[in-house]
Amino acid sequence: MSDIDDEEFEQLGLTALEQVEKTNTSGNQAQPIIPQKVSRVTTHAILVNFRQKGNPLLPHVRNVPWEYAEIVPDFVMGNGICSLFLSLKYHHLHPEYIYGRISRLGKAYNLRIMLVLVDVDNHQASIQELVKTSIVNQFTLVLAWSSEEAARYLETYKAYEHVTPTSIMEKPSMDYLTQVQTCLTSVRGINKSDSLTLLSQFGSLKGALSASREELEQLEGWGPTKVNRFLEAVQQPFMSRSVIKNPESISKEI
Amino acid sequence: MDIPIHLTLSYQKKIFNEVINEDGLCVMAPGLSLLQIAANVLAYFAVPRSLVLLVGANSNDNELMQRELEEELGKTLQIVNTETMSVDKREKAYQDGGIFSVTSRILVMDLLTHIIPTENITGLVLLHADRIVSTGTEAFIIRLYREKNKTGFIKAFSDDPERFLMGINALSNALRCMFLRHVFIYPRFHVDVTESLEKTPADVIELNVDFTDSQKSIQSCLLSCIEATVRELRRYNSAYLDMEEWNIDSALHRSFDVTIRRQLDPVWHRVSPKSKQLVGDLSTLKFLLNALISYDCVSFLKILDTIILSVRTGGFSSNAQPSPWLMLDSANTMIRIARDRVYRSPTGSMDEYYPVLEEQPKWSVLRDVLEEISHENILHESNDPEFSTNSILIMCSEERTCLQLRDYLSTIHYDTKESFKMMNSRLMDYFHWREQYRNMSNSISKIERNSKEKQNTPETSRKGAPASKRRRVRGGGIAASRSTTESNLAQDNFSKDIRLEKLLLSQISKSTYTQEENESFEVLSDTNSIYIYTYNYEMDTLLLNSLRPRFIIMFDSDPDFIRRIEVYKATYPQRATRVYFIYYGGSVEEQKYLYTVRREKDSFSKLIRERSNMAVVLTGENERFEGQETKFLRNVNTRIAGGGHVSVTNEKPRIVVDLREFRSSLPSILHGNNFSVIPCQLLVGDYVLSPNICVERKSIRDLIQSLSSGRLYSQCEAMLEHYEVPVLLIEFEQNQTFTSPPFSDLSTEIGKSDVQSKLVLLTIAFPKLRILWSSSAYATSLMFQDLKSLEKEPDPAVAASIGLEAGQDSTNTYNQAPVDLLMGLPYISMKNYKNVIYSDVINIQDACEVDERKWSELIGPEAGRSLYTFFRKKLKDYE
Repeated sequence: MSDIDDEEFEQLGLTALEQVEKTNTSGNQAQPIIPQKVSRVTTHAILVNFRQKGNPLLPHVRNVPWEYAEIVPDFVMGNGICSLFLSLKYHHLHPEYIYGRISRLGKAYNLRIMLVLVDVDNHQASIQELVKTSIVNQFTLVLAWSSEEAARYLETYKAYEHVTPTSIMEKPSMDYLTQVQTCLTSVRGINKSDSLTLLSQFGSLKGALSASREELEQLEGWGPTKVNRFLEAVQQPFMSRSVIKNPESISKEI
Repeated sequence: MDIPIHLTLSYQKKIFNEVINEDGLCVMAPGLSLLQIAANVLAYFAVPRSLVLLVGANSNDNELMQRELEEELGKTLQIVNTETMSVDKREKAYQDGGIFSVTSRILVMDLLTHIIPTENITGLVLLHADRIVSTGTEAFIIRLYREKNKTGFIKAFSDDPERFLMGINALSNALRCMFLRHVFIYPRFHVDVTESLEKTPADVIELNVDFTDSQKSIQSCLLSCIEATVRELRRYNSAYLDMEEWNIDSALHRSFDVTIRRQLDPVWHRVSPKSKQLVGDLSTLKFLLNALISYDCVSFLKILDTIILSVRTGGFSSNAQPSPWLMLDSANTMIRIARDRVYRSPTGSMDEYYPVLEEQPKWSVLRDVLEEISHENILHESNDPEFSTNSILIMCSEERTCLQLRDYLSTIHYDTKESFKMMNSRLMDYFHWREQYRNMSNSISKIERNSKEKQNTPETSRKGAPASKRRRVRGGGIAASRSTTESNLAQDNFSKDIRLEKLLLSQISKSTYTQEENESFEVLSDTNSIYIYTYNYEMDTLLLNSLRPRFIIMFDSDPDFIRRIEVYKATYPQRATRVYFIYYGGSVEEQKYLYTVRREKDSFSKLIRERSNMAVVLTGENERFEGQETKFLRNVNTRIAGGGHVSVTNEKPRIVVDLREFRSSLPSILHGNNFSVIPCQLLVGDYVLSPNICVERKSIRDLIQSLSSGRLYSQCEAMLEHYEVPVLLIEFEQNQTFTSPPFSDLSTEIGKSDVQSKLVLLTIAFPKLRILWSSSAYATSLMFQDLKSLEKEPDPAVAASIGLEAGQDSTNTYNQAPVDLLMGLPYISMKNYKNVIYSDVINIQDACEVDERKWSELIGPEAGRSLYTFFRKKLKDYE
């Protein structure tokens, strides 16, 4: 990626210099950092940079073990997963800090998390800046609103390091009634008790979906708005033909 | 030039002239023939070769406007929606001119893609102007229109004054959105309106009906349940809720639960499930209050049963509890009384039940009124079209009340128990329904049992230590035995139930037999016809005009309709009309009516005050759209490295936006921030910023939903396949607090179903996925600006073609509601739903009929078979 603009590039240079010179700006106990590739492959614990000593999130990491280690990022949660930590309060005082850390880290890990603690009220401008930075430098931005929440993210990354994402890949397996409810409640304005009313009245899902207006209007708790919405969902075609202008011709106009 | 005007009353003409002469917002009391005036305005401007648009009309409005324009004013109204006109036809029709009523969604597209010649639009008329919000589609339409067309007119109409008083400066904000300065306010108490309407008052007879004792007790039980729920809600959310104004009066108003919802909205994703449940309970309870008035006793019992059952199914999620109001004594009392209204045992023993089937008190009053009318009608008979016909119009608030009355009137006899037949058949239906209910209830208790067992197992597997093993066994045993006793209990109840049914059914058949014996003459002689309709806003005016009824019976109260009668009577003073107004005295119905009337009056007074105090913002037209400065800054792109090569573009930066996104406010805001917004049907992503960057937008609610349905995973997969930088935008709403939904409990272990845990899984699965956190749509548009500054412009043709297979057309659009329902079906996934949509299966109802073989072809043999059987699975087979 060549897309670091001038200003930032300059800033990066400056901060890099500062980082070399400074003894203690981060507020935490700073250790001289030697850029190095992490050779230790730990399997059981989150590795924590010595720089993070005193970070209020550490006491909240309880579900997985953690230990200090000499690493470039702030945390290493797994093989190829690392994280930089930034509190917005600190960022407001030392806006250049994070760029130094980013450039130091380079592209060493496969998944680089930028864990940002939102602990100030006027967050919009800095988050906007961090969003851009994270995209330019290929970081995944994660916001947390409390130390506990931030700690929980770290824990979760460690705990789920090797978990297959089945729980977010497909619809959870359900029994018949829940399936029917999920299906019917995907119509706007239909709630669980409405879906039960439908099913109990018409016997099967097919019956419910093919119900006529008159039949629906007689259902307990079904007013005209609900009936209209339901009928729209079951009767409107999935697709309307040639509704918008052809994108080809839009492209040509431009 | 001949200007056709079809307005009779002086106040109507006055409003018409005012609106014609000056652009403005016209707020009228409901029922004062708003649509008729709007139609006249449209007709006035529709000279040949002019292009007049009607915006914000719903299908009812369209129908009435069309009729008014065609029959009275000799113009045609062309209705444009996704079904009626293809894009080429529209383009041509706009060129030819005329009056068009266009759905907002389409109009935005047409304005953005220049299908409609914006410069040539003569003007637009906006209905339901109260619904306008600065980031909504209608406001977007008006902005697009004003941007290119400075001279065309804008006339806005509304009959809901309350909406202009919600929030700070709501009126002036709304005016700013519509680029209007003037407000015309016509309440019922306006001098011209009063003068026009009170010359010929209609003959009104009020009939105050008393609730039965059991209805009274149910009502007071319900009210105490509402109070308790509100109290509970207040206890949990005192920080967010402003409950100064809360009293039982306001609780009856239609917008009460909506108001609470709105107050909680900024923090909705942080509100505890318990409070959410309470808010839901409030709606349920309010609904029950209404049902007490309009439902017969059997239906009321039925709905109570359903509510109790659905409360139990709420228990799928592990921590759900039954609604607190169900635990109250008054709830128990209410359920008992509701059952006693239907059947009762005199001695309290199990074997002696008889049907009670309490009548609604209004029924007998209605019968008396009809009897009175039938006597009178014999005296007067006239067939002159100028005068009223002898027909009787009965107006109710709900379709089901109509059906109920129709049933009632058709079985009516001069007997003490005239409604018995109808109620008996209802009771039979009820018992039939109970059968289904029992099945469902059984299966639910089974699920409950299963989930309990499930809850037990993980605990045991975690605690592998042998010491706890014994305890585990014992604990599990107890739980299992408890749930079996529960289900046994339920079984017991049901066997009782079945016995009871048999008993009652035998009684019913006996009594219907005796009924048949002494058949007596019917109230309804053939000479007068009875029409039963529901209140339907502006359609009622049409109804009155076409029926010309001499007698109007208002079975339910409705203040708007009273005004419609007034207008009708003033328009046709020679038509004799008598109105019977039946209401339950001392009930919530009466209170609600009085409250609505008072509230409307207050709103108008406030609105008039607001108008006089309002700060009118007079900004120059140019400033409104684009300052010179931003224009300059955009032209010179200072971000080019080295600064040696400055590229100057006159082009606005482009963003390709998916059609479905036009429901959200972001496209409108992007346009406001000087982006050129190009609407396309995108199959991958929601926003394409550049050939590399593609954004999928999720609100918090969507995020939670799509993470658990697997949709987001597939969407990310698709984005990653086609774009270098796939971005997930997590967008909070403007007034939502900028904090994510809380972890269910941070003190315990990592929850598998927490949103955050799923988000973690997602980022691990897609390390290249970037996340964009935005506190509002405004913030998003700024971020987009940042991201685009270094990138090339996207090509809409390319963006739209991604994910499209051969033979699939990019000018077609998905319809959200049916596609959502389709995606909600099991076995339909992000991968195979397109096969269904692009096949010859037209809609969901069609899909129900599709045979097994075809399903296999569409979504694969296994899924196809399962889906086919899923559609047809009978509830009673389900065990």
